[in-house]
Amino acid sequence: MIKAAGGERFSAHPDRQRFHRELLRAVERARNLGSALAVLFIDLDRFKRINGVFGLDAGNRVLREAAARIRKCVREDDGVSRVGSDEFAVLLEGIEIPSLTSSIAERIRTEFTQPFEIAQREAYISASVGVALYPRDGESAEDLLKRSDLAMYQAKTAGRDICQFYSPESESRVSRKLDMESGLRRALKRGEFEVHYQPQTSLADGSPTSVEALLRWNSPELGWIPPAQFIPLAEETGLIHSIGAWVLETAMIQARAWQDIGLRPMRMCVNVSAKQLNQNLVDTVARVLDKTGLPVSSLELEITEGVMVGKDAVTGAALNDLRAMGIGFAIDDFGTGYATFEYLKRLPVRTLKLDGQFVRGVCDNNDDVAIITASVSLARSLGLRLVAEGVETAEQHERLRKLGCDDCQGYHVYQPLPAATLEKVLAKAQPGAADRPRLTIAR
Amino acid sequence: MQGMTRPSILVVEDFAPLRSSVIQWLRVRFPGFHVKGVGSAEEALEHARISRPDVVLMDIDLPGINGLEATSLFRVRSPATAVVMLTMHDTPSHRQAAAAAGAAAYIAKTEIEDRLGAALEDLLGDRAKGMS
Repeated sequence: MIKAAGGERFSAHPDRQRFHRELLRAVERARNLGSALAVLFIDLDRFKRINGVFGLDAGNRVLREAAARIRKCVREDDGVSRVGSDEFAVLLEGIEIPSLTSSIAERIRTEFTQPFEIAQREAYISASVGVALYPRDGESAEDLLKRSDLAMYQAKTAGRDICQFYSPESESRVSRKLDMESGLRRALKRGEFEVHYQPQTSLADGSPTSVEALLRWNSPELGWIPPAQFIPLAEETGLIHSIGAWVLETAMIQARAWQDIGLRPMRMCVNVSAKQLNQNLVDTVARVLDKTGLPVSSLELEITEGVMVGKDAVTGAALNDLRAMGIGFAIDDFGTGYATFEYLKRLPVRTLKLDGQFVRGVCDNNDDVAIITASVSLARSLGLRLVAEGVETAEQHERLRKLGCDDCQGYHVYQPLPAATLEKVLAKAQPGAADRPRLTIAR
Repeated sequence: MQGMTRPSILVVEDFAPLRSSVIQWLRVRFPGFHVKGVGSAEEALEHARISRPDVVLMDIDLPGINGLEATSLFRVRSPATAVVMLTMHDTPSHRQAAAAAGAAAYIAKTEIEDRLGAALEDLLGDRAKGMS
C-alpha cells in the first residue's frame, strides 16, 4: 500500500492479496451504506522495455514515481496499491458522482503523458486505465477487480494511453480475444492450421505463374477464423514466429513436391509480417531451402510497404541476409502504404501486388485507371512483375490485360484451395502431370 | 461580485469518502462558493453557531443526532439556512419526514450530479449564478 499523505511508502513487491482484502472491506461498507465505489486498474504501457533497457533499478525508480503521480491525482484517503509488476489499483469509495470517477481516471492518464527522467534521458510511459463501478459493474470484490482488469485490457487493445469503463459488451469481445489467444497457443500442436494456395495467372495466356500460400485456421472451439483476426494476435503474443516458420516450411515443401510431379514451375509466394523479419526467419529459409533443394528463385516473400517504412536494425539485417541468399520480394498491397520508392532500389523486389481496391474501379473509375496505368509504367521501367489482386469479374480481367498488367489473382480465376484440390485442378489443365504419383504432403 | 458575499455550503456526511466526493464536486461546479464538510450533526450545529451557512447538505443516517432532528434544530437556530437532505433513502416516507422537519429540498445520493446543481441555484438565486 502506498500512502502519500503523511510518509509515503512504496512497496517493492506487488501485493494483490492486500488490495483484495481492502476491496472486500470497502465493498462491505458500500453495501451497508448504499454507497458507490470505483476500482481503477492502471497498467503502465511498455514498462518491461524500461527494465530491459535501463535495468531494474531504473525500473523501480519509475514505479516509485508512477505511484507518486497516481497518488497526486486521487483524494487524500483513496487507496493506491501496486497489484502487479507494472500494475496499480486505485480504490475510490463514496464516489456517487460518475463524473468524478472519470475525471480522476482521466487525470491519471494525463499525468502519464509527461515524460519520466531515466538516466538523464526522457522516456515516455503512458498508462492504460480500466474502471469498474460498484454496484453497476459488479457486487463482489472479485468481479470488480476482474472487470476493471478487463476494461484495462480493452484500453490497451484499443491503442494504449486510454481510460476505459467496463461494459458487458467489451467483456464478451475481450473474452473472445482471450479464448482466441489460448486457442492460438494450442493450434499449431493440434494441427488446426492449414495452408491454402491461390494461383496467380498470366493475363496474356492464363497460365499459372505463381501461387500464394494463405494460412487458414479452423479452431474446433471458434470455427474458421479469418487471418485478419488472428494474425495481429499472433504478432502481439510472439506466436507469429513459430506459426510463420510452419507456413514457410509447409509451403516450400509443397512447392518442391509440385515440381517433383512435373507441374509447370511456379513461384511460391509466402507472406511475411514485419514482426517475423529477424534472424530466426533467415535461418528457417536457409534450412528449408537446404532440406528441400527448392531453387531459391522459386521462393518469393511478400512484405507490405509498411515493413520498409517502420523497419528497425533487426528487420534491416534480416532483409539484407535474405537478399544475400538471393530471395526475391513481392510488395503486397502496393499503393496503400506510404509513398516511398526508396526500397525498390535497395531490395531485390521482383513483384508489385496492386491492391484490390484499385482493381475494383478498373472498369468505371478514372482515378483507379490512372493509378493502374502509372503502376504498369513503373513496373515496366523497373523490370518488375505487376500482379493485380482481387480480380473478380471477366470484365476486370480484360481491362487489366489491355492496360498491360502482367498477372492477376482473384476469385475470377482461382479461389484459394487446399493443396490436394489445387493439385488436381492444375494437373488437369496440364496433361501429363496428373499421371505421376501424387506428392501432396499429408498433414 | 460587489455587494454579494460568497455563498457558503456545509456538507454534513459521516462517510468521509462521500463527503470528500461531494466537496470536490461542489468546488468544481461552483468555484466561487465557500464549501466545508463535517462528519456529524453536532459539529454542524456548532459550526452554524459561528458562521451561518447559506445551505446545509444533510445526510439522514448520522451518528448521534440524526439528520431529520438536526434539520428541525437548524430551522430554529439558523432560520436563514436552507437544509437540503442528501441521502441514500429514497422513499415517500423519508421524503415526507424531511419536508415535515423543514428541509427545502430532497436529493437522493444517486442524483447528485443531475439535481444538486440546479437545487442550489434555485435556493441561492442570483448569488449562485454569479459564482458558478
